Amino acid sequence: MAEEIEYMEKEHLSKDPTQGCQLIGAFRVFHGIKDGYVVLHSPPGCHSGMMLLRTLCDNADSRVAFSGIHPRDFIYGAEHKALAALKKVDETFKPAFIALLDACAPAIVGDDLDAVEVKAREDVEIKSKILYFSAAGFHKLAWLGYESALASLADFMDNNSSSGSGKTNTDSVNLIGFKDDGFKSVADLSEIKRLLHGVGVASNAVLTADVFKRIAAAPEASLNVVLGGDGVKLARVMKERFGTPYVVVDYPYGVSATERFLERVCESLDKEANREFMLWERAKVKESVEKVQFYLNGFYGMSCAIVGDTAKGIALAKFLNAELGFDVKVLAVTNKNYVLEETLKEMSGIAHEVLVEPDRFEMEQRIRAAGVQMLFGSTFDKRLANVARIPLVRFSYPTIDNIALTDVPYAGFRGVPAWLESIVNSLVSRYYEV
Amino acid sequence: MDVEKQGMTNNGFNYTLSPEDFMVSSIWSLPIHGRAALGGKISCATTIATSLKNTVVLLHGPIGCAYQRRINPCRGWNPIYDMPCTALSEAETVYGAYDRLLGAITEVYVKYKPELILVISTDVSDQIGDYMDAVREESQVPCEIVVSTLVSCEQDSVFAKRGVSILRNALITQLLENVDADAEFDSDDKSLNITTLAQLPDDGQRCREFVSLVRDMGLHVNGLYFYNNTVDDVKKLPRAFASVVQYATEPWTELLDKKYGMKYVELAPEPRYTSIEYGPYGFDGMDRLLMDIGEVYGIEGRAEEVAAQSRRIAEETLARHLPVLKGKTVSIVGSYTGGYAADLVRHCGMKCELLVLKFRTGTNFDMLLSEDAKKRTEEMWCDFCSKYGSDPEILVEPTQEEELKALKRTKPDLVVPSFASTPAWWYENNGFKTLVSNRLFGYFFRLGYWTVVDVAIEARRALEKPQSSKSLLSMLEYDDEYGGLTRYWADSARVFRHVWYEVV
Repeated sequence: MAEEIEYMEKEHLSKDPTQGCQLIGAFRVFHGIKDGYVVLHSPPGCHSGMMLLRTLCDNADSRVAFSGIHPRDFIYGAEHKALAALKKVDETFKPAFIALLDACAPAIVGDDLDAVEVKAREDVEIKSKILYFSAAGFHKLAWLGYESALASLADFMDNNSSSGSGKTNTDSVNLIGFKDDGFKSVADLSEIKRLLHGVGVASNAVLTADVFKRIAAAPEASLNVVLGGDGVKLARVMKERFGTPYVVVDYPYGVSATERFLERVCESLDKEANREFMLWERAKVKESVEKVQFYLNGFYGMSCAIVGDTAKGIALAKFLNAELGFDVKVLAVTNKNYVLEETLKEMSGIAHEVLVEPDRFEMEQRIRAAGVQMLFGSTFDKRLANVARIPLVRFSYPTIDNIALTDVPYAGFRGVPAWLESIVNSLVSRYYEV
Repeated sequence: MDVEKQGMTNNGFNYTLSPEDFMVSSIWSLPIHGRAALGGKISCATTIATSLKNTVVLLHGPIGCAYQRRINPCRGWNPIYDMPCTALSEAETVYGAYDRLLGAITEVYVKYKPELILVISTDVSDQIGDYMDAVREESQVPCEIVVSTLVSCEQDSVFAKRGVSILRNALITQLLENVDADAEFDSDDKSLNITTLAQLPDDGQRCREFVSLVRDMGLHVNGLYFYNNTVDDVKKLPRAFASVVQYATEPWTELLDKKYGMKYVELAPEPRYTSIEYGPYGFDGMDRLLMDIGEVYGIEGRAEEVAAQSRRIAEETLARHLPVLKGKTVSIVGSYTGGYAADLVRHCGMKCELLVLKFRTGTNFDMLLSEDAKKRTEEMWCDFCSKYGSDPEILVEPTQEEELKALKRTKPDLVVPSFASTPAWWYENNGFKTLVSNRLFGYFFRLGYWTVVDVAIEARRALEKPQSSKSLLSMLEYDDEYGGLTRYWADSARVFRHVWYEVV
C-alpha cells in the first residue's frame, strides 16, 4: 500500500507557513514555566499575537507583557523600555523567572539586551531570575527557537545547589518536550505522570510545564525522557553537563505506544516494567473498545490526513494506522525537530505522503487531492475540513477554537477512549443528507 | 413574558442576533483591545483586507507575522486561512528584499489567481526600507496589486484605527489611480456609497434599514464598503454622487473629492462629541443624517418625508413597549458617548436616577483623555439628563463598592451598563435588573430608526424576565479599578498601561 515517503522541501520566495518564527517557539518554552513571566521587547503586534494564542485556549493563564515599543523607538532604540518592563513585571507579579525575548524590530535596531540583562541582574530591586533570549523571528523557525530556548534553561540548572541535595533521585525522570499550550495538555500531563507512577517511576521536572525551582533541579532526575524528540538539544546538553542520560520516546498515543513508552523508560532505568499495571490499564481500554466495536469495525480502512508537529503528528499517524486501521494518506509535519529524519525512516509506509513544513496552500491542495474522510489538525485547518466536507478532529497546535477543561487526555491509556469518542462522535453526529 | 414571541421580531428592521454576534461579544470581552494588549497595525489592516473578495494578502515579512496574524483580534474564532508572506530572514534585513517581494508576488498569483494582491508591510520590511511601491509597476502579474506600507503607524488614538485607515487609503487611492476622472463611468447622480461598515459578521443585516431608507429617498446604493467587495466594486466608487463616511478627512476622501467631485455626508463631523446626542443615533440623529443626505442631493423635501414616515412607523412600534418602560428609573453607566442608554431616556421616557461615569471601560484609551475632557463629558451628561427631565446622582470613576452603595440607595428599576465595563451579571447578582449589552453589540454599527425599537425591546426583556442571580462568574474575584477584569488581568492591564503610555 505505502509508497516511498516523499520528503518535500522546496525553496520558495513566498510561504504560507504552518509554523511560526523562533519567537513563538521560545515563547512556548518560557511560558511553560508556571511561576515565570515572559517579557517581549517588541511592538504591540507581537505581544497581542502571543497573548491571543494563549488566551484563546486559557483565559486564566497568559503571562506575557511587552516593553511597549513605539515606531519612534525603531530609530532611537528602546533598551530603557525593556528594563522598565522587567522592573514593572517583577514588581507586579513577583515571578521566579522572567524571560526577556526580543522581536524583529529591536533586533534590527540593535538594542543591546545583553546589557539590559546584566543591568536587571544587578538591580537589587529585581528579585526574579532574568534571562535574555535572542528571539527575533527572522533568524529562525519556531522549532529551532523552541530547541534553543529550552536548552538555554540548562544554564539555570545545578545538581549541587538547586535543591540542596546534590544527589540523583533513583527512578525519577524529567519529561522534556512537553508543551503546556497544546490541546488537552493539562490532562495529557497528568495522565503521563499517572502512568509513570503506575510503573514506579517518579516525575521530576517537566520541561516545560513546571515551576522554575523544579526546572532548576532537573539534574536530580536519573533520566530525561524526550517526548517525540522535541527538546533533544537540551537532553544532549544535560547529558554533557550533568551526565543525565536520555531516551527519545514516541508521544504516547494509543495502547501500543503507551506500553512501549513505559517499557522504554523502565529499560532505560534498568527497571522491570510493572506488567500488572499495564495489563489492568489495557483491560480498561478494552471495555471502551467493546462499547464502540461496530463503529470501529465500520471505520476500519478510513482514509485520513494529519497535520501536526513531529512529536504528536507522527505518534498519531502510528496510532491511527496500527490500532484503528486508518489509511493515513497525508501526514503534514508542521514543525521539524532534530530527530525527524530518523523517525521518518522508522515509520516508512505508515503514511502515503509525508510533507515536511509545507506551504499551507500546497498542503491543502495535496490533502484535498488525496480524498480523505477525516482530518486531524488544528484550528487553522477548519476551512480545509469544511471545504472537503469532512470532520476535523483537533489535536495539534494551535487549537484555539476548542476548550479542554476536563481531565480527559489524548495521551496514555486513558487517552484511547478520548480518541475513540472524538473520532466516532465527529462522524456519527454529523448531519447527512438522506 | 417572552417579548420576542410577540411579533416583535421579523417586523420592520429588527435586528436578529446570530451565534456569531456572541462570538464577537466574547472576543471583545478579552482584554486585548487596549487594556492588557493592543492588536497591531497588521491585524487592523487584515480586518479590511479579508472583507474583500478574490483578494490575497501578502505580508512582506518573516513567517512569524503571517503565522500569528492569521488570528485576528477581532475575529479570534475564525482564522485568516490564506496568509502567505515573503518569509524574510536575516539576510534580507541586511541586503533588502525587493526582488524577493517581486518574485513572491508572481508565486502568489500563480497559486491563488486572485483579482487583487494586497501587499502589507511588517516592522521588518518597514525598517529595511524596501521601496515596496515599485512592485506595482514592475510586477508582470495580470491582477491588481495594492501596496500598503504601515510605517509609523501608531494606534494611540481612540477612533482613528490607523491600520484600518492606512489600508483603506492605500486600497482606494491605488485602485483608482488609473481610473480617469473623465472616463465614461456611467456615473449616477442619484447614487450613494455607504463606506462605514465595521467588518463585523453579518454586516449586510446591519445595513438593511439604512439601505432601505436611501432607496425610499429615491437614491441608489452604489456600494457598501467594505463588505465582500471586488476590485470592480472599489473602482466603481466614483460612480456615486456622494458617500456616507465616518470622517471626510482621510486621503482617499480627499482624492475622490478632488478627482471626481465626490460629496460627503459625515457621520462624525466637526466639532465632535459636543453633546450626548452627537452622532447618527436615536430618532433625531437619524433625522439629521437623512436631512444631510437630502441636502447633498438637493432632495430635502423627500428626505424630510422619508424621515418623518420612517420615524412614525418606528415610533408606533416603539409605543407598544413604552407602557412597560415609561417612568421607570435607570442607572446608566456612561462614558463619552450616549448610545442606547441615551435612547432609553430620550425616547422611552425612562428617568435616570444614577449616572455612573467610567472612562476606563473597554480600553486604556482613557489615558488620552484629559481631565478637562472628562469634566466636559460629565457636563454633557448633566445637560442631557436635565433636557429630558432627569436629575441623577452622579458618580465619576467609583469603586465597585461605591457604585453598589449608590445603587442600593437609588434603587433603579433597570441598570444600563456600557459594553466591556462592569458586566451585566454583576448587577444582576447584586439584585438589579440589567440590560444585557451583549445583545445590543451591533447598536453602534447600525444606522436606522429601528435601533431605538431594539433597545426598547431589550430593556423590556430585562425588566420582565427573572434576572440571573447566581452567575458562576461571581465566583471570581474582580478588580476595583478595571470593572469586569479579575485582579490578575487588571494587573496585566496596569502593566500594559505603564509600558505603553507612561514610559517614554
